[in-house]
Amino acid sequence: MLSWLKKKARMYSPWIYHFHAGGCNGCDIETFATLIPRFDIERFGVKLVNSPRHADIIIINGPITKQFVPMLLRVYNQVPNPKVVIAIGSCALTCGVFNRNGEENYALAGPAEKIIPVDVCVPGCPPKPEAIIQGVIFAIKKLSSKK
Amino acid sequence: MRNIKTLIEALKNIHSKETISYPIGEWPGKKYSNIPETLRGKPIINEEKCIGCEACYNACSAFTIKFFNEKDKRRYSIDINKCIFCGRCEDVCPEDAIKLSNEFELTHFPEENEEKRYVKWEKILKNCKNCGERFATIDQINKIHDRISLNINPKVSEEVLKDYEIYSNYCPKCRKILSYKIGINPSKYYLRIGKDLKEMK
Repeated sequence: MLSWLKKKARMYSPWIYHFHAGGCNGCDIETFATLIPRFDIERFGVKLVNSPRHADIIIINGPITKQFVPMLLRVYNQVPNPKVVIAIGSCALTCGVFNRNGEENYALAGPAEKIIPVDVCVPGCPPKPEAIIQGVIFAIKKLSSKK
Repeated sequence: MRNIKTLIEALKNIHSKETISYPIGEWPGKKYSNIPETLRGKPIINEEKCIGCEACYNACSAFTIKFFNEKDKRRYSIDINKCIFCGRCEDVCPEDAIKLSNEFELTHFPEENEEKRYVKWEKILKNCKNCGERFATIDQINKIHDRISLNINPKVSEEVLKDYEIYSNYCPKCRKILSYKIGINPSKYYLRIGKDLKEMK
């Protein structure tokens, strides 16, 4: 009974932690644009939090540089279960323009998939704010199926 | 005084909506929100128009467009996760076969890779008569034939087009080796042009 109530409460208030790992800031601006009254993602109960310990969803932007890997792992381990990871932008998904086919970039530790499990992909460079809202809705769906 | 001004402003706009009701409902005029016509989204390919010239492969700035040969077919693919929607392929395409649509809702789960992640198409290849290597797509060879017949001097058109039909059966390596054997060596054209020039004078 209590777990059912917990789950239902989690569905209506998924809190988000935003993680920026290198990149050009384009996707960051679009993610913050989703929080303003025009796109208003807060009507789904979403709230941007400062500590990963309070969060249910992690948003990752940018190709992950080698310096960022320990931070990312630390943040990922701090988020309580169940957790969902959204990778936003072509950089976070496949390193985008920073990585040629087969060749490795000396500054990058590869896309987010190499380091932590990614649950939802939002392609685009940068994606439209509506696309990010769709990604968050997909993430909430995934959150309901996880334990 | 300021507070009163803001209050008046708020009362004026009490009925106007500002938030876009994105997942459900319609924004006045257009679906969801104002999507501009020039928005660059998922690339769409017209397979009939495409000739397989690989111009998009050379122009792609994010190295997303790939191709490989499989038996008698050449398979092309675009990885949407890596695409940055710059539109260079659209600019470069000589046949307007590739176009960026308005579709921007591309969110997917990483498990369902093949369907949503890749745009795929394929073209049939032509074999070399001599060595059996697959060197170009049939559509591309036909297109070159059409281009030549449009731009050629009518004096030599018949001869050149006849030669092209022989010429197009061989791969670039075999053309060099067999050019005198088949009778497509370029020197005969030079001689002919020289004669024409003398006549003109």
